[in-house]
Amino acid sequence: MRIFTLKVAASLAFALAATQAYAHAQLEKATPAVGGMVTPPNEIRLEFSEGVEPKFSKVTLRGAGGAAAPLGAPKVEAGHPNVLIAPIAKPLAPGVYTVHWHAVSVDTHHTQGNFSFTVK
Amino acid sequence: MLSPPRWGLALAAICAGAGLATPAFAHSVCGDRIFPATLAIDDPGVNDELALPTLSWVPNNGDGAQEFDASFAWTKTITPRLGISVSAGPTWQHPGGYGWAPLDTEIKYQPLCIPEAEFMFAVGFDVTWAGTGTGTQAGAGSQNTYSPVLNAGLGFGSLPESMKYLRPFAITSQFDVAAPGRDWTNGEPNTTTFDWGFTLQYSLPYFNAHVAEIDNAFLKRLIPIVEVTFSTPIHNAAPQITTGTVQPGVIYEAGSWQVALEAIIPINGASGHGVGVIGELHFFLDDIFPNTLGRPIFPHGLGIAPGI
Repeated sequence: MRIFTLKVAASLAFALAATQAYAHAQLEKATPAVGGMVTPPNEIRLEFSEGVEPKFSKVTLRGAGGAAAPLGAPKVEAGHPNVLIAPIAKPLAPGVYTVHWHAVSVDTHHTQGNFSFTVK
Repeated sequence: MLSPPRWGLALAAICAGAGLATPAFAHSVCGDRIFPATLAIDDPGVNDELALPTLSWVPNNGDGAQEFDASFAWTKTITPRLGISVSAGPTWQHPGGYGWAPLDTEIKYQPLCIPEAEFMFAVGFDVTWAGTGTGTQAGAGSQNTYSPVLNAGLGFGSLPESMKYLRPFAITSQFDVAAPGRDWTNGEPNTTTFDWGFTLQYSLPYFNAHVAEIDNAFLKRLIPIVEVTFSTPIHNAAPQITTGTVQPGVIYEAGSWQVALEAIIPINGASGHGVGVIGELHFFLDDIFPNTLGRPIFPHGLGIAPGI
């Protein structure tokens, strides 16, 4: 019984230790929203589960047919190291656009993903 | 010994404590796909992880006994794609008694990940060590059991836009042959089995990040899953009856840990009777201790092979 009590205590200790841990940065929320239909946005805003390193992270935007839509250099939002913002250089015409992102979290784990939104 | 209801309370307490953790995700990563740790079969990656505890209960294990198992598993990377694992744990059977399962170790290599296809696989060699079990799990002889293992995972993220709601699906599989070191011990046969299984999972974290936003913090971290396992005697067994289980359940992925709960449904009478349950708390050590315990011993490899 003592061994199992120790195991449970160890599990709890690890669980609590996790509160201080970093992890792979995963996309929690995006603006424009994943799969959303929006008016022409000024920026791509990506909210991750972890802080990201903007120097090593990348965001690209492509329209229908694969044509690249120019973006400014991504930067983190002031006071929110988990939010990556890439300004859109030119107004987007109506159509479907695909965002590709590659994020490097502050503990150097790499993650990537893509999603589409529609400009009406 | 804690009774099963108290174990349930203990697990609930652990989960409640873990719920304080900052939400995020983990784990075996290939391209856009993150394959979670699964309970019935191994995931297709090489990781630094700790499963502690894994608890299961079945009302009738096929031998007519109620069975309660507790176990742990620790996996450690040697190089980025080469790892080892150690697992063991106690078993209680009624009728039957108590025993500590033999020590199980595996060396595992993940040679390939195709990011665009969200496909990865790993090969391993598992050894169950003779003489390390006790009580009801002591075994009848001194032979080790050797198992070459293949694990694979495939995400459906490359499906066309018209099938985007199917993209969160993924399948993982495992195939192994468990061969005892000796065919016979004290006049009793030692059976060789072909074991295989697969999982079908639908990742709501993937749905949220790739298909459409989920506006619920709890739901977007769930992965509904069905795991299926089979074991077929292929040598030194009569009759050769395949046993197995179907395990529907759900995984909750958080920052550096996950918790999973599944039902255990036997596929036939030889596999058991009644519905059991299995739960696991799983920690991602590479996220908890990224610079020490959770990194490969040789983080840049040894130059022997890709990733090694």
